[in-house]
Amino acid sequence: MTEVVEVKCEADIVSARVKAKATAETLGFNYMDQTRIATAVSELARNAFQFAGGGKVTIKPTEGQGRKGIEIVVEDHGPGIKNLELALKGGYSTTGGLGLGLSGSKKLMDEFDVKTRIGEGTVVTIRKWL
Amino acid sequence: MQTKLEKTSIPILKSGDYLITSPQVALHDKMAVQFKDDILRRIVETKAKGLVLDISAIDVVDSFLVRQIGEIATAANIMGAQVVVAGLRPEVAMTLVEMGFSLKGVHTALDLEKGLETLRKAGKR
Amino acid sequence: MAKESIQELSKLPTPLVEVWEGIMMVPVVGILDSARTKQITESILERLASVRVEVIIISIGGISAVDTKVASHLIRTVQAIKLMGSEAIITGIRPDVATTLVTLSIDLSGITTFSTMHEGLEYAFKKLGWKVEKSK
Repeated sequence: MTEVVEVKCEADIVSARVKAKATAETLGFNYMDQTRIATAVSELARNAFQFAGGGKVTIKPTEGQGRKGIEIVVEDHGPGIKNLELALKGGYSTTGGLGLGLSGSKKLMDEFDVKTRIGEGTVVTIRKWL
Repeated sequence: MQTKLEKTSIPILKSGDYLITSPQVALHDKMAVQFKDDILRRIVETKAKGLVLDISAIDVVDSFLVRQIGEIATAANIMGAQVVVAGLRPEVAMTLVEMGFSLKGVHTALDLEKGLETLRKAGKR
Repeated sequence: MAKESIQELSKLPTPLVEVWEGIMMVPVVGILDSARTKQITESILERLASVRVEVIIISIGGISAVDTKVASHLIRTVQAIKLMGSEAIITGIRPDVATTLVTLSIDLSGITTFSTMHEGLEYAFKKLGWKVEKSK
């Protein structure tokens, strides 16, 4: 049931969130959680598109500690995030998008992990449990 | 993938002094910006006193769309028109609040009808 | 109230009652944890989408305790209701709950609150243009 979306243009951001929502629904998440998941994916996919020129979104069911859930990985080969702490606090007010997107998605999900390397790219992994 | 900035096919209807629009499709970023431009152009053309933006068909609203809505409201206000965002879905309202967005300076209404009512009441003051 | 009774009450779904045209009342009782508060919020918002009332009175007089998590959930509930285009007011804030909120530095400014349901109803009626008169 793994879905992969290559984000190359604006419409792909919508594809990514539609697929994430559909997978969430199939897994049994309620409307509220489906929307939280889709919104988080939209933010992260847009970050990859806007700041890295594109990226890859992988959506799949996951299990952990006896629970079932959804895991989405958004990776890009962009410039990396210079001040991760600031971005997570919702900073970067000049660019607006990056900070809001990261901190926003973090608030919506149960698990949130960012790995970034300057000049190499960023991988954001988010999970939500049923 | 759209490469040209075409006029979006989202109808913007006129009802007396007000404009009503109710997007039924998912708006990707370029479309959202184009939609905003269409709305603002229509407000100028019609000298509308208000706009009801009915988003009851939109199931996901993220920071980009929130920003466009904010810009529509700010620009419309400068042109003397009030903007009411109507029909926010429960899931959308909850997600926006959880992310910390507030749609400041924008009136909201439960549905299109109540949105028009809000505009009429605002006009009477 | 005996602890067992409170726990039993907590298991029942929270009723959402349209007490008057345009006014919904949500009497919350028992022990509120994150999961339950979330469930209550979601059901209020879902109901609001179909019933479309202008005022929602959330009565928390029956809650045994309020902590930071519950308070922030409540605040978010009120904000989400406002965002949808309705108004939520909170009634039944007992003195001990008020003290807790102050101690926790929880800012309830911007949220309309009343200590009694009576005041809450008065506010709601006034907002909707209803006048209550006693017949002679």
